[in-house]
Amino acid sequence: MNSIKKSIIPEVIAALFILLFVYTATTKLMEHESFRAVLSQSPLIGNKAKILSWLIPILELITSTLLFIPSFRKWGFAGTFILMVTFTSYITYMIFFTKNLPCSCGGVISRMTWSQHLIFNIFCTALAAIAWRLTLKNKLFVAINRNSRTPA
Amino acid sequence: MKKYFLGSMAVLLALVFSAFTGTRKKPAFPDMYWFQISNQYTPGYPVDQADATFMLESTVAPIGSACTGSTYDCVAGFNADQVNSSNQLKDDLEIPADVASLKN
Repeated sequence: MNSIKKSIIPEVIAALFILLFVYTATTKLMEHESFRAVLSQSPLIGNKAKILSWLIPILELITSTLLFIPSFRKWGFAGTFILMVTFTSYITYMIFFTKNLPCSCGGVISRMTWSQHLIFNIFCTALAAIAWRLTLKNKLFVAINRNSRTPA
Repeated sequence: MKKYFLGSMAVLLALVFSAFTGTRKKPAFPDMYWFQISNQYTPGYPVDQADATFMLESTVAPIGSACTGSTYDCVAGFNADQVNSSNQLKDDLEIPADVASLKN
């Protein structure tokens, strides 16, 4: 029962992140022009707006693909964790330095305030870390079981 | 196949959601060519070609550099018919269609 829970929890979390990343990446690509314009207003990354406006949704889609394929899920969670830490750091910077700028995120998430977005991102980062850890633990569990079944 | 079920549902839902929140609305402003203006130009007066540096084409005005003030054009928007194919002002007679920010 415990091992079933451990295998289902990462699967559910992976599905949630796939939903989040595919949704935000698609809306960023569909509204690419305004996404690029908002990025260009950022004092931190404004001069890299053109490349980042393509790179961010592409990275989100690659991470979603890794999360979708069970054998690559471990790498998917690692990518998710790195992406979420990066986004959270950026939001923290924006809150301190340029609070009045519109959010450059995709879809309904762009309607959040910066503080709401920060809380949402911290929650997602923690979720990604938990899922990544569970995936690594599951691998260890399978490896130990395999070893114990090897005939002497 | 069962192990791909949740992921497939997530992809499907994401695409459905983005279809409803995507490009359903027209942009609030027409597409404009935004330029950083050097030297001092009062809003409503033509800008020299040499004093306008192209920033981007967008419905949203970008933030220029050192745009703190209230007197002269800092970031100005021009219509497509005021800009040539090299993203420069056509001539020295173009008046900004919109001024996004000012400077002193």
